[in-house]
Amino acid sequence: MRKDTGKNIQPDTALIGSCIKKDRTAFKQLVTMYQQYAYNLAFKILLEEEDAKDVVQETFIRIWNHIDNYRKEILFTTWMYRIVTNLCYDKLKSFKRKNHVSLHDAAGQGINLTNETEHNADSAENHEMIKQIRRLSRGLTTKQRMVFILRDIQGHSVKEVSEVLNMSEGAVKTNLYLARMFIREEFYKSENTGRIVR
Amino acid sequence: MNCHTSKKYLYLFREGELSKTEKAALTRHLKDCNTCRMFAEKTQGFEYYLNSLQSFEPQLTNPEKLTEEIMQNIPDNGKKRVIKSTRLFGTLIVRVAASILIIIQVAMYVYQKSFINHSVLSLNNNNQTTRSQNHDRQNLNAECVEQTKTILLDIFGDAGITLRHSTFAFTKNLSPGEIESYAVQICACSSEIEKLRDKEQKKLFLTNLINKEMTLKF
Ligand SMILES: [Zn+2]
Repeated sequence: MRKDTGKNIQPDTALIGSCIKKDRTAFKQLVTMYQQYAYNLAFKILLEEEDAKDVVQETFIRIWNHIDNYRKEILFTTWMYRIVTNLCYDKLKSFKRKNHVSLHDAAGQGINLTNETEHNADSAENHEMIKQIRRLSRGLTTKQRMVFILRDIQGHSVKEVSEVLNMSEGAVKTNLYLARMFIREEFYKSENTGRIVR
Repeated sequence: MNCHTSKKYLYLFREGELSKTEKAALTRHLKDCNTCRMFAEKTQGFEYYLNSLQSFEPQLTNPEKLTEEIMQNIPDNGKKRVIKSTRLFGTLIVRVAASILIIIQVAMYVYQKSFINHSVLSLNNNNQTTRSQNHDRQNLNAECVEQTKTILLDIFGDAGITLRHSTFAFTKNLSPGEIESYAVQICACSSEIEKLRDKEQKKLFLTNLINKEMTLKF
């Protein structure tokens, strides 16, 4: 797994204990420690700031409601990772159902991002990358997109992806191959028409 | 190996994606096949591009603000509450409108049926509902609406809020009256649903509950 803000710091037992007792101050500390980690992942999957923030909020509400289910045998970040991934997956599926036109769809049609000012903190390079990924991953199915993001952007192993998404390793590889094939075609198409600045 | 399989394997270029045997077969094919070799060479540029994507690290612009929003939205001690979206336009208005409509409809339904429909409410052995039965009508209404929304939100995520459209999409086309009656039933079975840890089990339980009631009622 790759480095991510907050990933390697785990909450101590006392902090978790206070959160189980519904101590709001302790919980706020937990939120401060892990919201960037959750946002980073949610944004990479959803590619839309407001959607990612919604998922972060929902994640912490789930954690608050179900923290007594957390078992310290697994890393807190792993537990949280699953919650974020599942919520993102559900969100992507609901977008597909509702034919939701999200920003990343619009971006591909040459419409400017409305949140550009909000992303001031991101480097120009990051920004260009976000636009590219939005453009390239537009036509992927939900599964292909999840597999692609977790494997090629997050850098997880096939086995880890299969565990997080509850899929067989074979299914992960098939989705990965289809996603890369699609993205490669889009990539060369864009390269030929000069839309991607490398 | 044919060219189709070879191309598929060429996409699985990262460590651990192909077995030793698969790699060996691919190498053999590439030795003899010009087309696939050219394809492989072209794929290298794409591989570099994919690797470059890993440096992408989105950052929160205003973390303090998000922390505040999260803290405002977490429920008070023990009591679960429904999420407020951070979004200001569009969806929020739709959600608020849908929620208000549902609250009014469910409240009216509960008001009419709460003291008649003992059979449904008695499905629930939980003290909470037993207590609710002793409450005055308005308390019962509010609790029931909140509980149903929390349950749906937990099981279906965001879709749970838009009760009318998304949550019941897996059943038949329902009239508002039918949706309201399901809300009461779901609320009545909340403790049983709560006991199920797995989300899929919860979905199944809800689906069964709704289908059973449907055959009973219609
Ligand atoms: Zn060939």
